[in-house]
Amino acid sequence: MMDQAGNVVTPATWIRAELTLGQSTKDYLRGLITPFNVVAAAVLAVGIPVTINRFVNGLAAATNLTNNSPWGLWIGFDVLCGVALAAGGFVMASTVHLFGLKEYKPLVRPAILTGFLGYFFVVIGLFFDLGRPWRLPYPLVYSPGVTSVMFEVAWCVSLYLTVQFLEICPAAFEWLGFRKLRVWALWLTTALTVFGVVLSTLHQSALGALFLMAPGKVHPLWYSPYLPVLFFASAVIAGISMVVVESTLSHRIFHSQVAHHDPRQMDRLLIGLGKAGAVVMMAYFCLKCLAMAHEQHWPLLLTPWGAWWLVEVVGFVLIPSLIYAVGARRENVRFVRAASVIAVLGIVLNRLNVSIITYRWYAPDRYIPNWQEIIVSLTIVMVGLLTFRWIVNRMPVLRDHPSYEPAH
Amino acid sequence: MQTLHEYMQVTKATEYIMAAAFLVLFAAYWCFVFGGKRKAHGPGQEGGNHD
Repeated sequence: MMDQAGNVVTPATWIRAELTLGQSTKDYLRGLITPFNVVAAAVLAVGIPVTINRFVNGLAAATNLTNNSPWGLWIGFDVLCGVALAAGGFVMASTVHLFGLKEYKPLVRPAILTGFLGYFFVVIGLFFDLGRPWRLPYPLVYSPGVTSVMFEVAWCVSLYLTVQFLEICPAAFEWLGFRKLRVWALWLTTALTVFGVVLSTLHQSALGALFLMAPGKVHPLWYSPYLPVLFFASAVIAGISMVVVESTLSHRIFHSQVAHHDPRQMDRLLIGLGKAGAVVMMAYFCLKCLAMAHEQHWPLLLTPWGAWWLVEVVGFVLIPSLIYAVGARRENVRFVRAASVIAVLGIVLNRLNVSIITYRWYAPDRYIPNWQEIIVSLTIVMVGLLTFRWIVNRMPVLRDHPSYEPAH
Repeated sequence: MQTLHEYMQVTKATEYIMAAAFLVLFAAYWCFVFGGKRKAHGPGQEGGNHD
């Protein structure tokens, strides 16, 4: 096996260098006591018992889900928001490998890792939500429902998770020193990227299509026959914005790994993403307005729900688009970062609006998530962050492995 | 508007006019975003790895 400097080492030395970051076990464990880890431990300390309660006593014991509101926070946030925010993988992969913008290569691996972990934990969230989670593979191997949108989502998410796993394999193979496997994995890149874009287009829009069969249940301002198109467009926005957010946070938290990167180069990349974000968000804003005009729901804009629609579309789509545009034009990366945060919140708000907040808006028995559902969602996010950090601290995601041709 | 046909003519016309206006707006917006002069950027930061 090889260490970070490319020298051949024994397995025991490799374990100490890679798993405990070059420290003794005692020092490593002592170093784990940080404010973030204390918060993470607190979340897990509550989340794990709640998880046990959910799987031992069933959904009724852990959720406020009912037959009238079978989809709650775990679908609305963990699945819908998770899939949208994990779209950075296919956006950056297509930018570099299909559109040939090689200067964005430093952002590809972190985006793909974010995407892979995002989709992985979407599946985990789905395990929590399904009444019979052991039947999750059924659409793949036992019960094909070819007229069902859900069947398409199941296949596309499964295949795309596999694609993203294969796309992140080169980083893992570099870490493990598997040279030949790395060559094979890199050889698949273009094909995987094309396949990934096809799958992403299919399932990002299909998640919107799931709500097409509920025209009387989703509020008219959010329901549209163009929901699939709107979901896909907003997924692209989410992908671009999450790459900006993740890059910003990673460069602060893992600064030792990116110290050799030219910060001006990174700023130029983020400004480039800001330009893309600005135009895509403006296109999405126009689509939202056209979808509302198509349904002739102008009078509804004067209602309280109309005000909420305007908050989402103006406050979390139009305004961040303008901030992106000003940031890109003035080459001010702070504006781009601010816009990305607002855009990410906007996508989360849109998904929650469609699936929970405006779903059965007329009903007296509205769904409100209980504390256990919120804790489970927080736990899943926390475990995702810890996994991301564990991988980035060890594998060449933000940095290059010295023994291989630079990915950055 | 007396008939459904007249109603649909008005609503569809509104949509097409909106779509045309949005196309023009989008084109202008594209020029605004991809316009602007280049300038130099500020310095970066430093740091350490831990779990």
